[in-house]
Amino acid sequence: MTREHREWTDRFSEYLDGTLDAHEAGRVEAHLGECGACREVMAGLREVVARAAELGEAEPPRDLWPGIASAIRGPARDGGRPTQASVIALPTAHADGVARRSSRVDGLLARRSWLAAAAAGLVALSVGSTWWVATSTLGPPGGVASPAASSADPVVAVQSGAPPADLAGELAALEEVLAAARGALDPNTVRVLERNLGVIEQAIADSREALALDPGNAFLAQHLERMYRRKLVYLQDAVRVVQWSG
Amino acid sequence: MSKEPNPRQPSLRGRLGARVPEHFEQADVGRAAGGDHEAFERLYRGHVGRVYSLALRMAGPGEADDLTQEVFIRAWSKLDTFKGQSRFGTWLHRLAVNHILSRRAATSRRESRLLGGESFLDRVKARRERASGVAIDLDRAIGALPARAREVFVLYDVEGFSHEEVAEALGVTVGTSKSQLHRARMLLRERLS
Repeated sequence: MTREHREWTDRFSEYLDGTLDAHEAGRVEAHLGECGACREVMAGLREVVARAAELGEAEPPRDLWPGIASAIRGPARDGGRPTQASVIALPTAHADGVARRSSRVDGLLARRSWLAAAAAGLVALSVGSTWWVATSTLGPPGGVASPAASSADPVVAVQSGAPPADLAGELAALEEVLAAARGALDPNTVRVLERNLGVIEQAIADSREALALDPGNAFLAQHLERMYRRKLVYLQDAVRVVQWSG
Repeated sequence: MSKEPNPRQPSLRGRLGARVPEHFEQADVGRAAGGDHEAFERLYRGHVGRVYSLALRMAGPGEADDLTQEVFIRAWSKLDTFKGQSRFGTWLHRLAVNHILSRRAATSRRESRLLGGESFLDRVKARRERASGVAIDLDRAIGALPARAREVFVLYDVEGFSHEEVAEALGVTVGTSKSQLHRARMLLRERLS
């Protein structure tokens, strides 16, 4: 696109949104009448805006309520929250309940934030690598899945700290593929992948540590399970990169 | 954030508020504020789609689950501050936007330190997709936008905020909001064409 075109197209969004004054809007319309390239750009922008307005709701891929319920209820040993009946019957109990709720949830969020901070890098990380795991130490601490890991419930399984049984095999297979492909990748790519994997593994280690301190916490177990699933996604992405690079 | 609705399209807040009869929702809000988990679950079921969609488009699939849960956990903790001056959906949406943006700000700083900004795979994917000439769907294209442009685009073109609201939410000027919106639209046009 030439500089002249760009001087016009830079105003197209404001034109579409109706925020150009009448004089400027008239100039844009006049230019559109004589410039096919700009008409094409404008048509594309209109389509983007129209499609954005039509975007529907996306449903979560799984039910998120159990994790929320676990967080807002908390372990019974902490005393839980007042029952609804007592809350409604006794305003003072309600106030107490609110205070306790805030304290509990703030605590959970604070701990979650700590976990999230460890995991935050995962978001942008596209890939994990495996040669690192394959050659060193960083398989999921705990090594072989414990008997609990064979449970049908991945959250229960992961309470041992091991990856869910349904992921362990695929994780290992992807790690093998990547370990074999390492030599074919650009050294800069390898460095990025290794750095990313370090963050992933740190997030898993932090989650495991938190779970070890509070082994009955279903919320933490679920969080750790998600970390493993993210690792799987990154490994899958990494294999695709290898395939593309090939 | 301004309370003036954006006239361009029904705002998310309007759409949220229209889905459940108000008196039912108000009753559930009252029950949930009193500690009723079942009432809060009904509120969750009624609103999770919009909150999740916002999180997905603002932060991507890797974070959307966690962010959605955090928003509802935060909402539970703050229900006693909801005074009923707006619809519950309006209040929840404001809380969701603020929470997602604050988390995104922290994450972006970390990503920037770790990866120098843009993720490796995003760059690879975008390059491949441009090279292949294959049109991609809008949600995927939104996910590949630079963070600031994505946030402005989602809030303005998807959620129906005004530039003034976007600027306030993101802590930028109205001019920046406009320029980032145009940047986002131009990038999306290229990727979708």
